[in-house]
Amino acid sequence: MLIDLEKDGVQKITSSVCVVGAGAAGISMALQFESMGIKTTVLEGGGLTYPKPGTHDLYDGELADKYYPLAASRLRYLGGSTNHWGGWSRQLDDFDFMSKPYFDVSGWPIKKSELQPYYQKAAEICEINNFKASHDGTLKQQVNDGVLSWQDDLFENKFFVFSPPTRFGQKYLGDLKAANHVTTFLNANATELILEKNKVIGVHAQTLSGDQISVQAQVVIVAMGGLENARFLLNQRNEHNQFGVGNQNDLVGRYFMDHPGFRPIDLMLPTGMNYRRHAFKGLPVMPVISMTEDALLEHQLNNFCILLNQKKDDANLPSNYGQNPWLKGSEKYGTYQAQFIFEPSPCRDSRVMLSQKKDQLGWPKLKLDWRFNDRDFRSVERVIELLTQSLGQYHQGRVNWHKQFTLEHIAEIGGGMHHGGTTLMSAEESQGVVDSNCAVYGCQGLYVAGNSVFPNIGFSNPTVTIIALALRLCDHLQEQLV
Amino acid sequence: MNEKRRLIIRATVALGFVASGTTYYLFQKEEEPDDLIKRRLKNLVVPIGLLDIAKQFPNAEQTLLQRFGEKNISESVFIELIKDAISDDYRQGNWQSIHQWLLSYTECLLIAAYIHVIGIIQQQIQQKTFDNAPFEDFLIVNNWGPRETHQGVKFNEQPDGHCGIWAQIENMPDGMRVFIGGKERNLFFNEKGFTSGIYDEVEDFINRVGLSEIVIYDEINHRKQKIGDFEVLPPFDFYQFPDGRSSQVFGPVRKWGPNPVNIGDVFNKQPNGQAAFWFRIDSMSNQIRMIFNGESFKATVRKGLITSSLSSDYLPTKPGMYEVKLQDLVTDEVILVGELQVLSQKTQ
Repeated sequence: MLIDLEKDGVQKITSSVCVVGAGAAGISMALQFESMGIKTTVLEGGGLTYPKPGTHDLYDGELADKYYPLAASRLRYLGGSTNHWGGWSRQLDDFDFMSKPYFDVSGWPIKKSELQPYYQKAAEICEINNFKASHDGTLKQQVNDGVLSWQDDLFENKFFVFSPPTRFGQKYLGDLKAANHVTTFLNANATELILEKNKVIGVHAQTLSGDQISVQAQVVIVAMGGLENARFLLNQRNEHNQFGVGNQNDLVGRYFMDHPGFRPIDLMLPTGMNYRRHAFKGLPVMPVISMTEDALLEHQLNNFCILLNQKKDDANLPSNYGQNPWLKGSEKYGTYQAQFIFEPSPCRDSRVMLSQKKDQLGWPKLKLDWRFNDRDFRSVERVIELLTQSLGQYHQGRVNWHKQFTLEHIAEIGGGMHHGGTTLMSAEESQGVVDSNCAVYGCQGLYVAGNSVFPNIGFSNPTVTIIALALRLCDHLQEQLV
Repeated sequence: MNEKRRLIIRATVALGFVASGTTYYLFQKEEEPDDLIKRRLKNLVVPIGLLDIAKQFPNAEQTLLQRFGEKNISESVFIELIKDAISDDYRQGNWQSIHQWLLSYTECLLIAAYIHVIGIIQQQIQQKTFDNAPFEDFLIVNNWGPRETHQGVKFNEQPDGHCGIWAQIENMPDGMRVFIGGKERNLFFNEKGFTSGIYDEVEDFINRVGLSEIVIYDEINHRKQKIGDFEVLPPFDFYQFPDGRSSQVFGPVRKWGPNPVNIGDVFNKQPNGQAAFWFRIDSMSNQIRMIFNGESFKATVRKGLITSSLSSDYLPTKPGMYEVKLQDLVTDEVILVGELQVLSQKTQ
């Protein structure tokens, strides 16, 4: 059932589960709970279509030193940020789950194998038909045209696959409307957890015009996105939670991460490199340059991938330079712009905080201070050295290193709009906000879903992992609720 | 006798060949080092952009001779030797940054020696630009639009105010740039082709009656292809109010519908289940609402066409005549389009 709180005032509802936020995680969980027969209420702050100015203003906030598109990187309506998702999909690598002694916060408290059964279901939800092939070695084995044949054990080709992209609000609107066990409220902005000491028993929500609803629930799952999850928890301050719910160790909001994009090098390579989105056996794939797990660990690197786009010949090293015998000789060469997407290591000072300013509903807005660890830049630099070595040693190409990590260039680094970190998952309460089942430490019945629980985010776009993790949470809760 | 003479001549000729061959061998001139370098490097391709290396490696020839000066090796062996040396350089991190290109030390020596011994002819290289690129058909353009507007009327207006133009192109390659009216415009790739448009000087663009070429420039291969012409048509006539005033926004209503409709019918039913009106009318503004039976509804403006839909909740429940108006939100101007006749029952 779908109810617009602005039109149909409802004051109180009781359900087993309340999911706050109807994005990729929220809708996936709602449909899963529907299939499990678990009575669920979904609270979505926006409506069915692109938000009205007033609604989207709730995403405004303050920035510290570094620019970040707080409002433009999110969409507050049914389907959430899937409404402007590009469809890029990829599992996290095994490496991303591993403990890395050179990261401050390292590895996941669960193994990738625990998520594996849920990845395929997530791919189905996202309508990705070649998802398995991207990770089981099929594409690596079969996509040979237009990619480099690496001669050493350092580099390898990895593959993104693509969702159409699935706009969750449109795709699953019919299912939400037809649901027997799930009621979805539109224009219902969650404002306050209803707490009994350290136990959550529900959520208050309201429209911008003041209509209110209280949802009584055994379990509340906060699935509002990486920025809003932290802001919501920080805003829940009371006598038991002086600094916000789950924030007894000053960790809520910390370790904010996004995938930085940076273009420090160009490459001279044979023309016809096809490191771009293209159809393979009728389905879209995108090869990227990356590194083997052993090499990442041996050189103590952050995970990364490199995207290539051919550009105009460099005036100093034009394409005919490739005719020299120390390159491939007869092949035609071209210049490619190389874009790094690199994994940020968790940085404690990169964080979401509360601003002094308040939103239209009277709650403090967020303030984002996005930072990097210096090691992230050193890692990219080391990758460039190794790439120079590898391409040169095997006569495959040359590297033009034209941009350094100066303060000016660091300021220019943009993100992939994948808001990670802020409510990290850890097996130790002192190290994280949620446990390995996404339950918030110190608040019974409260869970977090989404990218915000990722302790390490790799370089893969997060949507399928968000959904896989959300589906795993549904199975975990089913044991408690049914 | 003849046989004997023949043998003597043959022997003399043979001796002569042996003697001259021995003389050539004994008195052959030693190959100069520069000549050796020249012979070995003559087939290299050294671009003018690497000229600076010559100064950075003044003793390149001597170093090369020490390392690869063995005279009796074949060219193919020489090439294998330098390839191995370059591999070793990269393996050991022995490279130099030349105009930010990371070239191996041996590679730099070879280039520098080439410049010293053979030299590079500095040619006047013509700058490759959009203007001097030849036209060539290299893209398959399936469709593009919008293709025209009236003077002063924004077309395909986007939320940020720019007027969008799109093109569906098969397998759009890298390195494309788009020029509209001779000026480079923003270009955004997508699976189907690209979107572009007029981002700045919108008013100038839409007020200049005439054609503007849309051209794709492939800067990698230095060629360009015309996609088509966008036309700004002369202004349309304006709607005249009954009191003689002229509208500032709307053209005359050429046609509209549906009219009449039957009571209870969701007329001109849309995929979302709503009823819809259409109006053949030109509008200077894209921010139009339809007013029907006292209620205001969102309208979509295309060139020469405005449409607006309404849910069944707003359909009249009684037969009669109902006013249909259009309102411009910018000027607040309202024009009466006509009256919708709602019939009490279906007629054959």
